[in-house]
Amino acid sequence: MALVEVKNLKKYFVNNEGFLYKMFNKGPINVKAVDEISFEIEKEDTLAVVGESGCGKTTVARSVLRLIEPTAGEILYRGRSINNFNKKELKDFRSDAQMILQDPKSSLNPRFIVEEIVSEPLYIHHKIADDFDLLERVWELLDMVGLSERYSELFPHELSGGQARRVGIARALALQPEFIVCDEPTSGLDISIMSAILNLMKKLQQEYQLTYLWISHNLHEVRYISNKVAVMYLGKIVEISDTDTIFNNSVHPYTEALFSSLRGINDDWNYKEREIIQGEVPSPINPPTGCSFHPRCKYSFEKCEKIEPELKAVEAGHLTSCHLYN
Amino acid sequence: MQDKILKIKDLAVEYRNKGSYLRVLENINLELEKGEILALVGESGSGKSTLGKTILRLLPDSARIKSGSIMFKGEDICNLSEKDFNDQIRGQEIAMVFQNPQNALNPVFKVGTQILDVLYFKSKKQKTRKQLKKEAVEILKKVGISDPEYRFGEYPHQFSGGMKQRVMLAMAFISNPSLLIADEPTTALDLTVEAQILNLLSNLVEEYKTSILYISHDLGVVAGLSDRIAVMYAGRIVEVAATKELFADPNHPYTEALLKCLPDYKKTEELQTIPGQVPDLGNYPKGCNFHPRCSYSFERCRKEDPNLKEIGSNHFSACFLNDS
Repeated sequence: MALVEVKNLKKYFVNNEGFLYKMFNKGPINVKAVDEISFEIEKEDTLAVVGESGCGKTTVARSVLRLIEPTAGEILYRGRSINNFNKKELKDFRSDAQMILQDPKSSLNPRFIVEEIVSEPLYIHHKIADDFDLLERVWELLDMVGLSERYSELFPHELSGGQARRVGIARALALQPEFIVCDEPTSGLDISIMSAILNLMKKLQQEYQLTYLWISHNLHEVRYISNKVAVMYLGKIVEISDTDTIFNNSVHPYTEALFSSLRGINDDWNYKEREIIQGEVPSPINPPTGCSFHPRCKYSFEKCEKIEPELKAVEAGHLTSCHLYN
Repeated sequence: MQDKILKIKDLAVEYRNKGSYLRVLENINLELEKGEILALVGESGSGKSTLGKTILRLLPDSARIKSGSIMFKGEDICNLSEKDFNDQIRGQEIAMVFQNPQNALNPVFKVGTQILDVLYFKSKKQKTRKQLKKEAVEILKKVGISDPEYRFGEYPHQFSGGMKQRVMLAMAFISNPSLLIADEPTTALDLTVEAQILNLLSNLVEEYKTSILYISHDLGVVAGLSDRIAVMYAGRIVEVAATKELFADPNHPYTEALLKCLPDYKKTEELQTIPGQVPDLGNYPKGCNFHPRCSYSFERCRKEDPNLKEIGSNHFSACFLNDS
């Protein structure tokens, strides 16, 4: 049984407030942030969700942890629907599933010292007997993420970006979770610090049998950390498969376009001669009819404008939503 | 030495801080040829943006040039008066594109008006704005903005990030500058849009024969764009080489370590990390700035400052390992 199972998840953000909307009675505006997506994450796997900004990656991450309520659809954790959890069950779920937030600095309380930040989840979940144990546990956690005991007395503003990120990871690990949602954990970090964080996350995964949902837009990093990749475009998954297949035999035109912007530093290429996909991501308020990618797609034909393609298997474990393959 | 557009010699820049001065740039030597794209890469806090701003005199009042010279087309621009600098150099001969297009455009003026302003001053206030409108629409069209007549009358918030950066590029190229300083112009953009902007930039460079100082921290972008790369670490340039040569055969231990850290879709082996941290601004260690983190460091590194030395044809590196 998969650890996390997402079934037909939908999240529409509705805007029908404000003076002008009421006056002209235009009706609510639906922003289809996430539209009918399904995926599974097996235990100890890393599923990477990639896509451009505005495609709904972060909304998926937040829905999976029930930080926002989905409009429709079901999220199963160990086979049980998290949307029907009562207060007690939800609290247990919160200690099992943790999140590493995008901005390393602003996700730490500026008035807490590191010790308080890392120990707060332990207090909330009554996982600690007395204060001596607590400090020892905090040191142990800091040691796990490669920070010395000295850091437990510092405030967030005294930390560098990389150190703040490590504190964020230590806080996520405090309750010994099984499932961690990582929302672009390396964005905004320098290369040398980014590689240290990636290695740390990989080491922690092996040591504590963690399962990751990894949100990212850095494809090099995704290749390194994940074993399954879901490519999102305008609130939909357009292709999902294991990492090797996505990187070597991707089929969807958008994946192809996205990965054509991916080059290693030693490849022989330049921006002048490269074929580049034109246009920008359309607004999710008013997405194109049919396949949402068709205005930018070089293979698009009549059917693409009218009928929305379904996510179907091209081969076992490799799904795509494109009329070319169905 | 006629084809050298920019020649920076022994430049040192300091910031005033609580009565004392912090040295942020030391011993910078850099040359830029006509039509060349030179990338300046380094981690945050390495001083790459400071260098770009020093050239255009955009630093705050608390900063000063301690020593050295910036020769632009054979003339030392450090000694120009503020008025001459504004009239002759800034925006005319040297243009700059900034990281965040959102903040670089004025939100209360229409995009078209802002382009007209640049054209108006370029014509030395001889033509009226009405006469210039056709030219401005032409420019918008050239940088790939669809429906330019309509877009001309829109405000910056109606443009997407990629389109705003296109407008910024258009405005920078209006005066046909000899040098463009691009300070991470694509970091705020998506992958596919980033590729579009860089493609546009490459084409503009070819057309106008402009030299570019491209400041970036993204080695992947730089690999596909630049002719040469200068690597900065803690306020110094540690290595300068042709792009391909730098990636294939890095000489300085910092460059070597940096390349080993970089996740690459073809790499399967474990990523390496550089121990320690980038030293604080102006609080650099004695000797080579990289020695506390360097795995090859020896006695001499702790005492003397290494200078950039030519170790191959057009390949410069500042490391004592090359001396022994």
